[in-house]
Amino acid sequence: MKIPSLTAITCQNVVEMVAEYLAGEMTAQDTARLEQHFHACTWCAVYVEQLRLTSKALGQPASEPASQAGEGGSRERLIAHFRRSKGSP
Amino acid sequence: MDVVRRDRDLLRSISEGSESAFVGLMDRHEPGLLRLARSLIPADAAERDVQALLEQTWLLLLSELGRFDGNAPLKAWLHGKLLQVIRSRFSEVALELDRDASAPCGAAVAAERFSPPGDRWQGHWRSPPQAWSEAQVTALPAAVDASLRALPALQRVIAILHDCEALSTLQISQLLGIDEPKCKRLLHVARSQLWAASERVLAEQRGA
Repeated sequence: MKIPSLTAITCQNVVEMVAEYLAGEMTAQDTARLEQHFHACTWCAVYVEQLRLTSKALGQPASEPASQAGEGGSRERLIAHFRRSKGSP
Repeated sequence: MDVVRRDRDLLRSISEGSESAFVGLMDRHEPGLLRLARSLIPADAAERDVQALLEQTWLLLLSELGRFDGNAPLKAWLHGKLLQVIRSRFSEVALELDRDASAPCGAAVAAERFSPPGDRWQGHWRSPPQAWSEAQVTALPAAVDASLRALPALQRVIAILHDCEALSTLQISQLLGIDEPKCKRLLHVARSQLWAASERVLAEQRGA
């Protein structure tokens, strides 16, 4: 995505293009221009940092699942199936 | 050793009857598969339905061991099998995923949060984000978890596969049959929607 000139860039433009920035897929020139915007706009700097934190938080589930895998005998059934299919007792 | 070779070796061991390799594979991937399954099927589905989905996924894997082509990591292939099973068992989820794939992506952040056209500050924040305290950052994973189900199903899948399972947008787009730019866009919209929803949850907690 080609970003508008620095004078034309708005916060609304920033939030739409920041994915490329976070993925490290932006050109050096556009990265520099976006970072100039962050220096001038605390709110956009807060947004991009919070978006980064949100993405990281998604990768860290908050709670253990109510039950673990294999409850209700499914693990045992699978292993029995595996043994049968491989000819083991 | 590269990932594809490691995956092929593992599947060969399973194919040759290594029970420990099979159990190890289940141990490694079940938490991620469970998270995807629980996030996708109807909220009122019983836990035994979730377990049945996983069981069917592993049976599918065992029956198709020889079909793994290594074009994508085993993790992607396995999640693709789970999605295949979910689609066949829950037609409403299949419909929702198909509908989401053809729907417009939408804006990352609601337009109302920016000053409207004609305003002196057009396009700049009108309702800006507030900095989070350390306590709010600590509470963020729970807020994100609580907000995940409000996302459209396809965005949920993409966000989980990317941010939890570390699959690339190219791998995810191939797995879901959508183009990569759309996948990237949906990932960004999903994260932004999760951010906005979590922001509300955290603000309510602070006000409580």
